[in-house]
Amino acid sequence: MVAALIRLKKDLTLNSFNQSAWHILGTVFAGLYGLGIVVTIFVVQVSAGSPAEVDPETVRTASVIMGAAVFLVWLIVPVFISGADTTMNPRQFVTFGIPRRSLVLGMALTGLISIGAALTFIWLIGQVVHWRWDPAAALTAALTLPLLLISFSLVSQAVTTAISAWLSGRRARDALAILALTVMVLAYPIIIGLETAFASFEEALPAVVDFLALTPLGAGAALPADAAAGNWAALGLRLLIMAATLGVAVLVIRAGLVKITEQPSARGSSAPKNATGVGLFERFPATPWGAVAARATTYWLKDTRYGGTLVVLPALAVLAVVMYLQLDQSWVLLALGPFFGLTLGFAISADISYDNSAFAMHVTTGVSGVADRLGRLVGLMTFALPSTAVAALVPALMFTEPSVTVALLGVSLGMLFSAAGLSCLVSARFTYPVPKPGDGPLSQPSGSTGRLMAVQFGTMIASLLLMLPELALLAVWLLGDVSWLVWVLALGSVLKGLALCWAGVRLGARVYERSEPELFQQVIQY
Amino acid sequence: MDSPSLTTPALRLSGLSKRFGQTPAVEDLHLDVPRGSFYGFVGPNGAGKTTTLSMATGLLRPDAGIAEVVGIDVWARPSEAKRSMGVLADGVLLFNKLTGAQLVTYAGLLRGMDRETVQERTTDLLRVLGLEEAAGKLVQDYSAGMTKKIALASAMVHAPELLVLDEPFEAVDPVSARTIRGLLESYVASGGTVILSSHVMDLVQRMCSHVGIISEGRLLASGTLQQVQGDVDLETRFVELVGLEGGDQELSWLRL
Repeated sequence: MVAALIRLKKDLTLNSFNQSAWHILGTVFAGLYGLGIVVTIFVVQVSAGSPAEVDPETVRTASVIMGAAVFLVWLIVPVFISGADTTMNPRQFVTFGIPRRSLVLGMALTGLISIGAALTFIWLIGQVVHWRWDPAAALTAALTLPLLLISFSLVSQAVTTAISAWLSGRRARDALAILALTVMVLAYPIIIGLETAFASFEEALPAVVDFLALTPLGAGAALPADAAAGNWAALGLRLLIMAATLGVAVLVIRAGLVKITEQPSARGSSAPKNATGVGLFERFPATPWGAVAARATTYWLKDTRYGGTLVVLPALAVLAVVMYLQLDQSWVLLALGPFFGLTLGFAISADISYDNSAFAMHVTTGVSGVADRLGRLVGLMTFALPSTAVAALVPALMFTEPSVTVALLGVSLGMLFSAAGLSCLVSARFTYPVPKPGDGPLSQPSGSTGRLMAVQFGTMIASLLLMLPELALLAVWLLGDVSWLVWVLALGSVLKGLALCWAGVRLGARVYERSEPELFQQVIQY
Repeated sequence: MDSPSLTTPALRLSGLSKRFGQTPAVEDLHLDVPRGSFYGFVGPNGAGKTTTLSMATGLLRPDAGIAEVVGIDVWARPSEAKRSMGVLADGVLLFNKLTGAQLVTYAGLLRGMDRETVQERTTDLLRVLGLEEAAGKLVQDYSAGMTKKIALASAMVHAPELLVLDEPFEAVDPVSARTIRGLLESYVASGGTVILSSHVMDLVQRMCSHVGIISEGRLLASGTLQQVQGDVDLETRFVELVGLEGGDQELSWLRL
């Protein structure tokens, strides 16, 4: 049975490559990227472990930190992909009545058939090399290699199973993913906080390492250090911590599987609301474009896939404030406006992909290209315009003179309009995979990562070219300090942005009308 | 606007063809749906029903051939042709973060109708389809039957001359099916034209005035129900034309 599960995973993985060349390309790129990182680390491990110039404390510190990082990656990744990666979701096996023991073991082992596991394996071999200057430590590293690999896989599987069993509700999963993302963005302030607590990072490091080495995160990676120091009591303690971690992981998986396979729950539905009226549809003009705008705005509010992509913005604002307090550089705050403008402007570049097959309604009702493009643009602007303005104005009023405020506001809005105009055109022809309706905002879209990268890269290059006038003006102004240029810069940016919006809607509409059915056939595959 | 004579078919497909890679999905398909008819488009799974209807409704560009709705070419003058047609596509999602009332309103406004008319018709449709209670509920929380009904309401809100319905009865409970059927029958009685695809022969035989049978991308028979079924029932005729699969063999071990 376990063998069958492993074969299934192998077949599913291989079959996924049959989908499209883009998928293969994306996987190859992701794999190469990971491999690059791991090989770099490997080189460091080899040189740091050279017996001639070894510093035991440094090797221990590096091992524990790396070990904790790898553990965290295994822990966090399932949170992000559990939404869409249904290949080995335990829910799929409900009807088969597989013995629980086989299922637990099979799930843990299939977790090892992945690019991540292969990369981790290379890192673990590197660890053995890293400790080669001490025979006992090297032997410990080699002997505990399978133990570490399996514990990573089991912990990862425990997270996946737990999410699937107890957090299968859409809302709970989205909240979790957004929380994880926020924590990642806020990692910098947290580190800064630690630094201030300990006066300096170097001083804090030993304490952090000692602490990590006593948690499941770093215990496994600290084992060779104990062997090298001959501290067998500590080694025993850490092995106990590892065993306890494994035990808890297995218990969680078991309990989760029992919940999933033996008490499958019906999909919950929201309580019926007796709201009368049609919400935002009453607020926008009763025209096709008004309807599209009302629908788009409703989705920005209700669909976590939309809002989820923008969660970085408030997080970045917080980050900028923290960085400003640390570095006392006002530019980190002044950069917020243009950044908001750019990010929000591109936020509609995937809107048809987000519609998925619901886009059929636009096709069959024969809504005009202009109405479709304009509606989506207006829907975005209802909130993008005020938030960009606030992001540009608040820091500018705090730190600069009126002329700079004008320039900053102009550039920010100009970037918003330019990016939005470009998105109107690009999204009418080039779509890329996004999470399906109903999935979490951060779940991985299935297939064709390559296409996503190609479209985003192309759009980025195009937008850079379109922003060149602003950049040139900005440079001239900064270098030459010619104040009348501020007004030219501000006005020029906004006007150019508006012109791009107009052109984006016009051209986008023409492209849209010419390729509507092709567009539909493309997005239903995502 | 043209004023097509009463003899112009509500839907005319001539020489429609579509290949997916090397596989032909629909080959040289000719089909006339007369005005005021209730047309059943039947065929086994994968026969090309959805492909054909997608090409008739502007969702899939044909490789060759013409689709005309009340005499207007769907692919040459799409916005005019789509005005006369209401579509329920199969296997597509709806904008399911909208409430039922919002979805129908959206469909109406997309058609360029004015607010008062949309509001009036939305209320009427929801009442007739028994969805009044669920009007303020998100479509994602609807059952399969309710989803079909709200999609049908969205397809009918602009009172089209032709309704193209792909599998309107799939996964629909008997009560909802009866509601839908009643609505469609009164629509046809008032002069509207319906073409629906299905593989429930019984249903088609009871409801439809005309039938077309498609298999492997080719139209095998078409005409009035009487002409197609002859002196046997529709299912018998259908199996005769399409052929049995598995050749009536039995599984020797599946005997308890």
